[in-house]
Amino acid sequence: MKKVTAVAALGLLLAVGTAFAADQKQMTVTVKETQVRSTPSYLGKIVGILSYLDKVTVLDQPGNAPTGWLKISGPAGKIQGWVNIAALTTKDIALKSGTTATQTASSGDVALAGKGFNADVEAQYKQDQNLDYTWVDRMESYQVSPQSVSLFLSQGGLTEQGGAQ
Amino acid sequence: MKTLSRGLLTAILVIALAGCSSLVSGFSPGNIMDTVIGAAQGNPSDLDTVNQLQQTVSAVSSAAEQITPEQEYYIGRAVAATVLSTYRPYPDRKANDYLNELGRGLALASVLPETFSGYHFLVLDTDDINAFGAPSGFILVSRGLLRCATNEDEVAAILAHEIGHVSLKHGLSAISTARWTEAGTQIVKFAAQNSDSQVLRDLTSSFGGVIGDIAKTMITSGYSQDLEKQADLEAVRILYAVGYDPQALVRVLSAMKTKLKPGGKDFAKTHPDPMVRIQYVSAAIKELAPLAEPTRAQRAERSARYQVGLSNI
Repeated sequence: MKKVTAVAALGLLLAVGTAFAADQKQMTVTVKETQVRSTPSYLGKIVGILSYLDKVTVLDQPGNAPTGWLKISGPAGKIQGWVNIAALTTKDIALKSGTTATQTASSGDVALAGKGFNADVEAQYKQDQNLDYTWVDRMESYQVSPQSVSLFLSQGGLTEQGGAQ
Repeated sequence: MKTLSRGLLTAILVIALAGCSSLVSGFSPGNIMDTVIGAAQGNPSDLDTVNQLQQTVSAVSSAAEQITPEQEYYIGRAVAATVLSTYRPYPDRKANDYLNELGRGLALASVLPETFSGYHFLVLDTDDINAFGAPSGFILVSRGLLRCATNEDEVAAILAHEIGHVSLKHGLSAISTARWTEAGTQIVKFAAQNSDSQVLRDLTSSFGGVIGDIAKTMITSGYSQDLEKQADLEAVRILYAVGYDPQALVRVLSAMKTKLKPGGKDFAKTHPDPMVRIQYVSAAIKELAPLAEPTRAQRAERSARYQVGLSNI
């Protein structure tokens, strides 16, 4: 009996450990869009683009990986490369209502996409305060590609230290 | 069984909150434990208190947890719109393009190189010496402040200070604890009943409170001297990491000292005296090894694009 309990306890421990490890390896994109790079640097060649809420699997990190960068495999294993940790979270971001989300907002490790302060709240606030967002929208529309930022820096004798801690 | 599990749940929440018990006004760790034990034993009044406590604990922890980069983005947009209700934009395309290229390059070296929609920069059409780093990377800089700079390294110093405020999330730190609690409660409610228009109005009211706290600090009272120092030191680190002369920040502060008018409602009111800032910035720069000098061509490139972007500022 004792033996059975011990084996069951060990099994439980292993199951919890495995679940924990699996949780640690899965991350979610928290920004509108981020680039996957061939090397852990903003100078690295762009090998793919990830969008908000895409799930990635964190791969084994080489010993010399710089702080702030993670080697990942993209959705369905289609893309492999490096992403800055600023664009990722370990939280499981649930989808908007009406989809398959089963989590609740009060769970500490779950955040809800499109909930809380969102576009609906902004629209209501804008109306209540009679605030003009024209220039905020225009500000956001100024497009600067990652390539032109790279060129701007290199022509001026400057370097990209992306995510240096 | 229900009572016991509720008590256990609360005990877990209490442990989770142990590090921030001061956030829950009216509860001390001692009376929380008494209440938990009472509730576990079925005492009805303790049960009510447990319910209330659970709500408060959830609100506090959720508020901090639930501010995702997406929500920070909506906060930043509203703060920027509020600033733009006081100051007019300066719609010069060349100036704004230049700031966006330069600023985004600098942000890559910050501790937060990516935000929900990235960093965005806009010039404000005013002689005031002022700038605002709104959450999520909406950065507004006045013509008056840009005139304190005479070259690209100095403009970089101005932008790096604001990127420092954004990346260290100073805007969010201006939100009071009470506001966090209120906002957290509303966010949780809204998540449960997002189609309810009254809940949307309540959440919008909380949102307004959050924006009010940040705008008041940024526009009227200013951050603490400690946060300004953090932003200055982060600016030195960013400038050095990218390869700009960090001494440029000292030169901008010196120009500011000459140009700021006593009694003004701009940096004269919201920032520490430039001389104080120069002292600790200079001390930080002394610790750094000298940077490699840019080549003549690189210097000419920086000078040429500065002229194109800001010669008419």
